[in-house]
Amino acid sequence: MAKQHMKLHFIALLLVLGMFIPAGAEELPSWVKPWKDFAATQGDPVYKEWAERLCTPEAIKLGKEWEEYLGYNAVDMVAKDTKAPSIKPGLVITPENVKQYEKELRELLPYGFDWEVDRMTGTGLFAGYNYSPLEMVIVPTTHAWNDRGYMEASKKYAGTCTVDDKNILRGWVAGIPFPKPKTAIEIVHNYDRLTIMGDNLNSLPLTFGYYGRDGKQEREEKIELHWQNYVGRIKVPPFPVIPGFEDIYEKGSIVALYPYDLRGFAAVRTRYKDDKAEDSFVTYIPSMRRIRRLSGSNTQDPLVGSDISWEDWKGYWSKVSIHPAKYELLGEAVVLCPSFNPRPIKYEEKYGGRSQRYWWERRPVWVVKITYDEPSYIYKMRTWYVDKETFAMQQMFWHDQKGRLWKVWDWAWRWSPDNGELDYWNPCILDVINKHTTIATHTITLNMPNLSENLFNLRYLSSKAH
Amino acid sequence: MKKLKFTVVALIVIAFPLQFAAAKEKADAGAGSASGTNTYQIFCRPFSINGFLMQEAAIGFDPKFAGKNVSDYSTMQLEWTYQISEGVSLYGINRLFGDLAYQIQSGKRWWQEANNTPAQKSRARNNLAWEWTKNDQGAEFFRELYFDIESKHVNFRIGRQQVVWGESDGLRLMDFINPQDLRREWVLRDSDEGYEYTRIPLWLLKATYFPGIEPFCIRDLQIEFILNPGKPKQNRIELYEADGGVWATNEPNLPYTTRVNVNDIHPHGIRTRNMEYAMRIMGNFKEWLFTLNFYYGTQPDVILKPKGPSLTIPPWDRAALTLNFDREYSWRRIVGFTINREISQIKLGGQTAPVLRVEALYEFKKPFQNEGKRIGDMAWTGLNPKYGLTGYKKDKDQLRYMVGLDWPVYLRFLNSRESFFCSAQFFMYYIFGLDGQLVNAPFYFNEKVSKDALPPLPGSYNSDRIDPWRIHKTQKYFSFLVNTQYDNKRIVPQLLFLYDFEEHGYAIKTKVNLAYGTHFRPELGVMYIHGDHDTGKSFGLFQKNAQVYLRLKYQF
Repeated sequence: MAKQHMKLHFIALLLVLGMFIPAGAEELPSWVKPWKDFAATQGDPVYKEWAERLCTPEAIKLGKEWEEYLGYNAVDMVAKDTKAPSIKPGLVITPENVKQYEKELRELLPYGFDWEVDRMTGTGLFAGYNYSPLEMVIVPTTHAWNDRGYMEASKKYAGTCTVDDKNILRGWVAGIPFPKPKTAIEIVHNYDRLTIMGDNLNSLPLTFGYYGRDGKQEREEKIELHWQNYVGRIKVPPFPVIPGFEDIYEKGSIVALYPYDLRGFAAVRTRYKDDKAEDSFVTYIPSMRRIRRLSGSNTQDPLVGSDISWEDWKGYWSKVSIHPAKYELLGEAVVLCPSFNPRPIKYEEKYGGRSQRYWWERRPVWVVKITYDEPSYIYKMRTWYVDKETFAMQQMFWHDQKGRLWKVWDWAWRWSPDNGELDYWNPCILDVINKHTTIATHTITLNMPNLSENLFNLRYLSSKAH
Repeated sequence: MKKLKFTVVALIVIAFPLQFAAAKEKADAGAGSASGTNTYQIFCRPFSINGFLMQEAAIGFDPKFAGKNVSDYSTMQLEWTYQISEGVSLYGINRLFGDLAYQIQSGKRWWQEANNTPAQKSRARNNLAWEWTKNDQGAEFFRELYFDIESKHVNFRIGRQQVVWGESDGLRLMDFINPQDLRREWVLRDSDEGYEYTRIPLWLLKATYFPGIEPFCIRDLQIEFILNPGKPKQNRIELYEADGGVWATNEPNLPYTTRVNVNDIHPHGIRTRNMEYAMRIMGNFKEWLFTLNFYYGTQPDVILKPKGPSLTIPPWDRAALTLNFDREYSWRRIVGFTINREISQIKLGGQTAPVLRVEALYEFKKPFQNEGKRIGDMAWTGLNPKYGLTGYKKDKDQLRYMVGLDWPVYLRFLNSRESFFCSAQFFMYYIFGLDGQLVNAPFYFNEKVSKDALPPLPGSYNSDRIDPWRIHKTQKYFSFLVNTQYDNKRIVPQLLFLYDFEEHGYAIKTKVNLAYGTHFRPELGVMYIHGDHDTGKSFGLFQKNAQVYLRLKYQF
């Protein structure tokens, strides 16, 4: 009896003690530790703040769920990779010290992505055009994830997705169609269906800075951008489709704010679910003062003087059904990628150009190559690094039809560990043949409830018309 | 004195925001990058302002003005918006426009000759020198000024504005709400830029209703009502070079003893009996973007109403006989529609599909100048007793339509990076129930008659002095516009071609725009017009406007 009493007392004591043990004292997952330790040793408040954001209960819960769903996390995968041991967190690689790390850096940027190194050395592609130097701030690998909505939708609907013999996605309802992709085309569809990494988006404003052959800013343009998904919705009700718009994948609208010769140009672009249907592209052209339909199939011209076209919108916005291509998975690798930067890329006049400084880390990626069959298509080839955790593009380059490396683009994703929202900061796109650069600076809000349909219809154009 | 005062005030108004803009630019440059949308706060509400200064210079190459500096247009324009509250804004365009050629060339003999014609020797044509002169009814300092009021289902626009309808470029069909100032280079001045400089704004009330319903699967349904409270305006073309300057249309051939006198009886001020009404229904039916259009208003072009001849004694300029006419502007009743759609079934090289544009309108009882049963009856002169003074016109129904294709085409061997935008349009005008002959009076006589002392009188059939510009039962026109863009839209060459099938006249405008940097936009272009120089038919009216021009624009 006395023994039983003791047992009861002991259990009660444990329960009471349990109440006083703080939640944070629970052991952190292994994938948080590298960042936490790194922040503690560096003493930089930005690192500390970021490490804390990775450790919030919401972030850890979501990170665990995604890890469980995918069956891996980037931190563990990268830990197994032993190449380039000198490139470690805390190191800052600049054009001044790059020589010391060049060999290892090139090792960490396989499949032709070592143009990132050329930017620092001023050799290769950048021998005659060295105005975009880079400062790589190496940070620990982050276990990253998408919005919970993508995971839940993927769990529910991924099983219904297939790719037909023409590489067209069938059976998709919402979420990531192939969370465990086996082929390049599945990876391409995954990225395509992430669309804007949410259900809707405002970028107020989106600023394009154009830089010429001499590296100087030649022009600046500002637009207002709105985007909305009508099917495959994962976060903002209604799910998964906005009733009455079942035939529409997504719509985007813009109005140009600056400079004067562009000001007032407005457009609404609609992408239909039907793979054979061209986009609808209805514009208000201020010089004509008319609402006018432009050819939605004309997707290959540069947008408002920039180095991107509708084909490159958000990195890739091509229609598989319209531009037949060969999709190859070149491999999987641990590579050096732009990290999830809590601040926009810092641009400054340095090293004789407009230098970028932001965080880089080792990440597991798929390497995808797309080779186009059409000789009249603007590109011959696209090559991507695609992140194995977020399914998002990390770096890319394009070859023109003559087989010359034409444009390069890397991303510095803005990411919220609490909810997995991923969106854009201010990446630059470099045209290394014509020697100009576009820096696209976003000011993004994602997943707004009650985003008005009047931003995506003729009324929007009418209201912008003068 | 008044003029001087106006000029000074206008310049101060223009200069003030320029200074403001310059100051802001300087501050931005100090911060690192030149950024801005030129938006400021006035009484805690956003006020945005943009604009441009533009100087143009043209050298003629028509034999009449070959090598002459025929025009030097100067433009200062401000475009601004003041957001008074969430749903209310005030929008304005202020423009100062003039032609420095009047100052630069004033002492030159060729200029003086061009500025004084036998028909209107008594009237100076300096009123095209600057747009704000008292003779110019279209003073454009407040070119546009209107309130925009937005509510849940209805948007209102109240004030001086342009309303642009239709789908066609180059020639206007459905774009008829606002008249046009055609005195300078005719349609070539800005037909490739949407008539931005030549459309004449009107004081209008426009209400657009968005019902928010989708009847018969029609998306984005909206209904637009337009009311002109009673101050219509007409096209300005200046047939007698009165204030058309050296660019006005060629004067009709007349015997040298004859003069045409046209009285301006156009009502001034606002008259409720001159109210105009229009309505447009717009929607999207399975990607067919359509409009249905209705209009009741006044004709934009003059019909000559004969008032009988008179004699001038003594004939001080040798023209003893005066043919007197009143300008007559009848009512205009139009119904029409426009549609457009991308025709994705047609693809060139598997790449791009064209956009089909169709615009059609039916005009009831459109007045035409009547020639009579056969050429030579000259009913429009009022001199033929068979037709009297009332048989000068005929009201006929007319169908006008345009079918056009816009097609971006990739010609990689000419431009490896960008498409060629090709826009071809076919226009057809058809008059129902035409019996007899209609003419564009007074373009009636050929040049031979200018040497005669007396005009051919009614009944002079088969006269070799008569070669009227007829209005055919079916008239056909064609237009073709092509442009492309190099260096990421920084070099933009363009060609516009217009052709009149009936009179075999044509016009070409080709130009190159440069868009480097944020502020400067130079343009170099050539306009060439070919028509019947002798009779001045169709494009022949304007062929002396052939010119090479340079335009330098600074925008902010």
